[in-house]
Parts: sequence; C-alpha cells; structure tokens
Amino acid sequence: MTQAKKILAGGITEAEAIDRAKRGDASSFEALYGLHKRRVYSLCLRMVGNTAEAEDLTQEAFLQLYRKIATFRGESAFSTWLHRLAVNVVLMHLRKKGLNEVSLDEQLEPQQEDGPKRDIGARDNMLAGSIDRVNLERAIESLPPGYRIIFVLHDVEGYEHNEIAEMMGCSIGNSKSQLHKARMKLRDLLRLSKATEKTRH
Amino acid sequence: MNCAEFQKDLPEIIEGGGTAEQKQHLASCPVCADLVQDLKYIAEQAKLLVPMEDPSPRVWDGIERSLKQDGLWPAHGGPVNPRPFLVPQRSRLAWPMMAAVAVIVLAVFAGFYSRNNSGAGYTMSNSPIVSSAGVLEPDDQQLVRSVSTRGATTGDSYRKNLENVNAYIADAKKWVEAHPDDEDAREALLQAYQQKQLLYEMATQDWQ
Repeated sequence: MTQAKKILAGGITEAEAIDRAKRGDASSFEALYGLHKRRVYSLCLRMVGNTAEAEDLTQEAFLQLYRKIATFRGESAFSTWLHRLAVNVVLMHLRKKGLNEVSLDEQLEPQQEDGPKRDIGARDNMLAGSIDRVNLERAIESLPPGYRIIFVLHDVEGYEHNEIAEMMGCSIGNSKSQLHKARMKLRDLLRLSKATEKTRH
Repeated sequence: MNCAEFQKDLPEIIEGGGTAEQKQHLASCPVCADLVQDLKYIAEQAKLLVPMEDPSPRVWDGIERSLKQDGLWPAHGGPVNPRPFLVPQRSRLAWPMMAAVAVIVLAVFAGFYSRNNSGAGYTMSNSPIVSSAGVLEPDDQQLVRSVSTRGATTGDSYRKNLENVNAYIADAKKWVEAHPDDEDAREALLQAYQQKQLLYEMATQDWQ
C-alpha cells in the first residue's frame, strides 16, 4: 500500500495527516502515532531487548517526530524517514549510556567469551525448518548488544552495510564482521534451544 | 582447501557466493554446507519477523504529557492555525527569539570551528542575548560530564551552550503558557528544543 493511500481514523490519508501534523494538528499527529507505533516500538524493543527502555525510546522517537515533522520533505517514504529517526534515537541512547566508558567500536565488539564458538570439522544438526518466531525473537534478545544491534538493523530491518556503517560510525567491514559473528552466535543459541527441547520431549 | 580456510572467508562466501575453490569445498564438505545453509536460513527467517506488539498506552500518555509540559501541545487538540508551520507570520516575540536561536547555532558552530582549528575553546559567557541563566537538567549534566573527559574546554563550551539553550527554552515556555494560542511562540519553543537536540547530536557525533 502506498503512503498516499493509507487511510487513517477520521477518513484522511497518511499524506494529509502528515501535512496537518506539520501545521501543528494534534489529532493528525495522534493518527500518525497510531499507524506507526507498533513498528517503531518493535524496532526499539529488538534493539535494546528491554520493554521499559523500549517504551521510553518509542516515546522519545515520537517526541522528536513532533519536533521535526516540519522538516520532512517527502524525499523518502514517511515510514522510512521515521524509522531512521527512531534508529538514531536508539543509537544516541546507547551512546549516551556508554559515553564515559568505552569507544563505539569497543562497545560494539563483544568480549571474546561472548563470541560464537566455531566447531570446525563436526557435523551438526541443521536448523532448517526448526526455528519458530518465538525462538528466534528470544535468541535475538540473548545476543550481546553489539551483535544484536547490527543483526536487527541488517537482517530484520533491511538496512545495507553502508547505511549501518554511517549510522553507527563504524566501517563497512566492521558491520559485515559483526553481522557474521551475530549469525554464528544465533546459530549456537538456536541449536542449544533445539537440543534442550529435544531432551525435554 | 580445508574447513578452517573455508570458514575464515564465510561472510564473503555467503554474500557473494565464493570462488570456484570455495564452491568446490562447499559441494564436497557436509559440515560447511550445513553451516552455510543454517546461516542463510537464520537470515531468511529474520526477514520474516514482523512487528507483533503494540507499546503500552503509557507511551502515548507520556508523549502527550511531555508535549503539554513543554508547551507544544495545542490547548484544544486540533489545528491551531491554518498557516504552514515553517512560514509563520512573525509576532513581536518571534523575531528576537528566532534571532537568538540563530545566534546560538552560529555560536555553537563558531565554537566548534574555533576548537577544531586552533585548539582554543569557545565560550558564550559574555553573550548579550541571554536573558536568564539556564539550569542544567540531569541529562545535560551527564552529557557535560561525558564530554569533559575530552577536555575541560570542550566540557565548558557544552555547559555554557546548554545553559543558554535552556534559558531560551524556559523563556519560550513562559511565553507559550501565557499565550497558548500563539503559534509563533510555539514554533520558537520548538526551534529552541531543536537547537538543544542539535547540541546532543554534536556531542555524540564528536564522540565517535
């Protein structure tokens, strides 16, 4: 469905709601919140893995939307623009949290013991057909923060490595390497969960 | 090629398919074939994850409360003024306020230009445009503490700029409270908040 054709409560299109919200129409802003809250909240929740923090970040993202909506020029889809704004809110929050302690690269780089275990030479039980949404969501939540952010941005949200590198202030190579480690770690977590379920039955 | 050599290049192999030698290893090694298939499967499943949960109603309540507290939420909810938000007619308050905000932005950029080019820190302590001293909020104090680790001058510069922008926010809030239907006052307040946001963004970008 295209942006212009989305019909919101009150019978107005999303494009009309954006125009009205730009002029300070509170009810149109509320309608935009209703349309996009789930996606923004899911993004925040997956990136930080904590409900209370995700709610605070969703609130902050929409507060920023209210303050910045007049700068939306329609060069990209509104949802893409809002999504990027929300990602920046989460990243800024994470940077602020770690501002005194470590540099971004260090913060993104999980400790060695968190890293995926390589089991070269041993044949494993394959995952194909065995992952359900709940297991995958749970495994993503268990990832170390640095892995989780890159995995969510690339594999779940569909950002390219160059976009991630720009947003995170890291190199493209770093983004690729973190993604690979994240997938390897997820594989370990999912296999462990599969094995646990097997022994239970 | 053995498994260790193959797995060392896995990200490139998954992304680009790999060289002829890597493809040959993949075809002949069930362990590596399983690994590649698993990683591709995980990536495919991740793409199918859709947003499932709505945020609690607390989130919207918090947004509305915060915008009301900041004086940005129209008193009666609907459109206050049919004029485009970005091109309002200026009231007596709006022009000085906008000029002040513009001066802050210029000053901030001048400060950073000066700091980055000569090593000397920028201060706004003698700025004639500040009507009252702004108070630093807990988040501001945390930001100042963080940037101060990069140097006392940098911390001082951020502290003074945050105090200034907070002073403008406080002034604009008072005006909005006194004149809730004045769109220009609300826009000035909005822009003051944007300047504060800009300071935060500059601090975290600098930190990268």
